[in-house]
Amino acid sequence: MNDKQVDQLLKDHFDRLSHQKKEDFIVPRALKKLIFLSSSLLFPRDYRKTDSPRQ
Amino acid sequence: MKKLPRNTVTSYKELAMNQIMHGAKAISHRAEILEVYRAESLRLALRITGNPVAAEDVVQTAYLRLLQAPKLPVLVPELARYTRRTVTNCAIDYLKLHQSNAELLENLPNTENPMLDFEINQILNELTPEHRAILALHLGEGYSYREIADALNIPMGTVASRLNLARTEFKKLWGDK
Repeated sequence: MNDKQVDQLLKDHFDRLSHQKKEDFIVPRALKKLIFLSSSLLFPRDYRKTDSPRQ
Repeated sequence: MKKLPRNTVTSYKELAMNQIMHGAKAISHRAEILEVYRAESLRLALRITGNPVAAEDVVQTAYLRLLQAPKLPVLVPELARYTRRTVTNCAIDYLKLHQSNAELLENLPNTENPMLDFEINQILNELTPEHRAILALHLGEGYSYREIADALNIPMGTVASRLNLARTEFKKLWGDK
């Protein structure tokens, strides 16, 4: 494999990466939001307080 | 100790509030400007890391750095260059931390040729983060030696030698497969 072939192989690889579906970027962000929302539903604010109970 | 007059204290409070409000406005304005480069930044981060989840993390970190930077370039080409440099540096830092992590080779993007892209990604993952970044910048983004030298803050001669080394290393690993 010569330099030109390596360059072409990598160029094609990077081109394919940039043509990937937009959902691949959106899904992780949507997942993060979902995790955050579910955690706030499961653990309401009062229970998430880290303050030690009064003696 | 002499007390400050009441009206002076109020004005201090107002001054502080004004500064906070002004700071918040400045940050939101900055975020709006940087939003223009988000797609380009995500593409660059994806080409350097090879992983969409990692790319998302890199851009978030880079944008946080940019939002917290004391000063940003005013001119558009300079700002684009500054953003590119920050994203590249964040991607290199990310790879240095996570390169040995097997998760980097998981959740790969859906491409037209997933098997080939997986193999290439595996080889790229064995290169040093700097070499990987140079290949992505030159062959992926099509940047010139001068632009890469600016993005990585290295001399142009170093760009040429690193690019050559990265290519040779990739060729060797590809042949070994």
